[in-house]
Amino acid sequence: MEKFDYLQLIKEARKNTKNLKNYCEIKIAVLGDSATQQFVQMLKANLYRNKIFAHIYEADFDMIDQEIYTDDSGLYKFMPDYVVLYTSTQKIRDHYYQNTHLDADQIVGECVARICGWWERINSKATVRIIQNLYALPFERPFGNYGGRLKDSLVGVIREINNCIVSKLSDHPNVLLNDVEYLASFHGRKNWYDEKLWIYGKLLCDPKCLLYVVDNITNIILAGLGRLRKCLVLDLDNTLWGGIIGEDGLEHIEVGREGIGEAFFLFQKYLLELKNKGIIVTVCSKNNHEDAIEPFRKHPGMVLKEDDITLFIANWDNKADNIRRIAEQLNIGLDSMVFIDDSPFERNHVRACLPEVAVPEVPEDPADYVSCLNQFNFFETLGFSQEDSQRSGYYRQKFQREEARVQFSNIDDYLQSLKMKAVFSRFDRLHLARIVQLMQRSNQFNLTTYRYNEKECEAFMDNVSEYYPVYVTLKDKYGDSGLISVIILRVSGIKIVINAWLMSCRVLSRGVEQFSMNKVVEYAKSKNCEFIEGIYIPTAKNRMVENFYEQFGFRKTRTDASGQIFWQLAVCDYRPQKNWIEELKEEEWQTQLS
Amino acid sequence: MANAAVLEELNKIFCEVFDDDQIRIFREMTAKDIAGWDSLNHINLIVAVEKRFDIKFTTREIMTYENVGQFADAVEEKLLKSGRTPDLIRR
Repeated sequence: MEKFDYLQLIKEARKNTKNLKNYCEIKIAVLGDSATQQFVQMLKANLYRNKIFAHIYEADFDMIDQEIYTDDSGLYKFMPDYVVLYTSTQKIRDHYYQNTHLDADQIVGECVARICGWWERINSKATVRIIQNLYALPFERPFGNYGGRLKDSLVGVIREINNCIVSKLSDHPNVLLNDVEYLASFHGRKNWYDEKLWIYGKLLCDPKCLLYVVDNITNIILAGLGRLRKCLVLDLDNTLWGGIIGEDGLEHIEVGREGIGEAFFLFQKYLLELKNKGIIVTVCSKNNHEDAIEPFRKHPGMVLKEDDITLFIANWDNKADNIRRIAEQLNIGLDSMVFIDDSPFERNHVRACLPEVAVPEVPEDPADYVSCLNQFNFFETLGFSQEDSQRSGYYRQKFQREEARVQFSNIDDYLQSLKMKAVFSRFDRLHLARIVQLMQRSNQFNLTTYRYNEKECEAFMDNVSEYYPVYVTLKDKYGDSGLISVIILRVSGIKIVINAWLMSCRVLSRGVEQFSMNKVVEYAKSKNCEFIEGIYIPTAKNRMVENFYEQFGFRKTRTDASGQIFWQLAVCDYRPQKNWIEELKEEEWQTQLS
Repeated sequence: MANAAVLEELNKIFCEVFDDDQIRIFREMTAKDIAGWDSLNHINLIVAVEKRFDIKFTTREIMTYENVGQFADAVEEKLLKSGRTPDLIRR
């Protein structure tokens, strides 16, 4: 049976009723104006394949308004993490045909107001992420091409509703788009709709196409859990250009606007787009280094330049070892990497040695490279911040620092030479998007791995009496590292509880933890607290910080039934930690250049 | 009357869709005779049968079948119409 089969998923849903130990649990409410049974079964099964056990609340058919506007509805009792608003083009079509006396603006206005009303009502009642279906454009066009230019044709109305939904998203950061219209046009509207099953069972689309909707939402949820791919590892010969640089030479490799070179040129354009969106691009090639780097420096047809490549490894070692080295140097997990190589031998080797790395089958024809990489949707993300576009620059600075490090005989001299400056400041609206993103992405240096969303962070920010949520930004003479740490403190009587402490691994071993702990203790004193309590919740990935609190003089007090480990420090026992970071006020950050 | 080979294949699909190897279909069988024959599983049944035999039911057909016999007859008729021999459908 093929992997991605409607009946297969339905069958799996029936079987996978038990939660497994290492599976993550989430709660999803599905509210639809079309049938949701098939969708819910498949979503459950597909999430289960990704080691997620979903508890799903399925509202009755076409009861979106009732669920959302009734205070004690099943939806609110269920307290979901996600609400899927599973809306259908066919319902808009009904509405359109019933209201032919209205003009297009009125119909669009009503539909959009209804949807925004849902979002706002849900947001006023609960802290959740909302996944909103976009509408697939209809297959029917009674006025042919001419209908496409009419505002009041069905296609015109739906197109406008989609535009309005998208434009409203910027005011609603917790609403995520399920771009059903992309899926329908990508797979073809002719095959998308199934009028028979709409009439019989009110199915959103053909059951085969339902798989795409399910997979799309699965990707969103994985991204929300921090299960993101962050890094591309690329082969060179016949992957980034046609030919073999070591044999054919610079003049004879194929890349650029001419001939088959355009296939590689377009692939590189796509890769550059990923790099600009924050994906780390690295190279791993079996070549002499000077041969391999030459096209990046000299070939006019190359889109990717030396500066775009965060780590460039060209040697004759085996690729699995090289990829492991890349992961170590970047401090990222193997499960956040994607490896692209035209050689089946290399692909199979990496698959066998490093099963966590995603290794897509690369098609024979380089013209298909983009569509191959594109179809996996490896790089789904819930947001995009300035941080992302600068990510590869941060890593370049990091490697410059490491080179400089060798010149110093001891670490203190080196750290001092960096002239580091940091801001330690309460959450503010300006930094909220990046704060949430860091919470999603940090796995290793993360004491409790709580993935708070925008609204929860805002609530911490506004709760001045109980919470002191802070972010830390860092820069030095090599450049600005941006917002790299988040700490959430809760004042509880004479105790400060460290609810969350996480940090980007980019800035490990620079003294940020020591600097921050000094600030935490300072805060505890200002609040007349006598104790600080730290919590460590073990995950598969955060062993790195298992004994984090010990180095600061905390003592382990207890381990509760769920495995959480509690540490405690008496404020009077704390010995300030040495570090070489100068503190700046937020307002000094921009003006004072390193 | 539907051919034995068609009934045999249909039986396999029923077992698969309802996840029950014990199901033995018969001509007069209706939704009442099988636990879990709801609208969700009816759609699954349609999807599975259409896929297995490479045929398409009409909307009227899926809404009006009264029992398994009528369903099987329709499958056979569609096979014949498309020039296939029901006897050879077995696999």
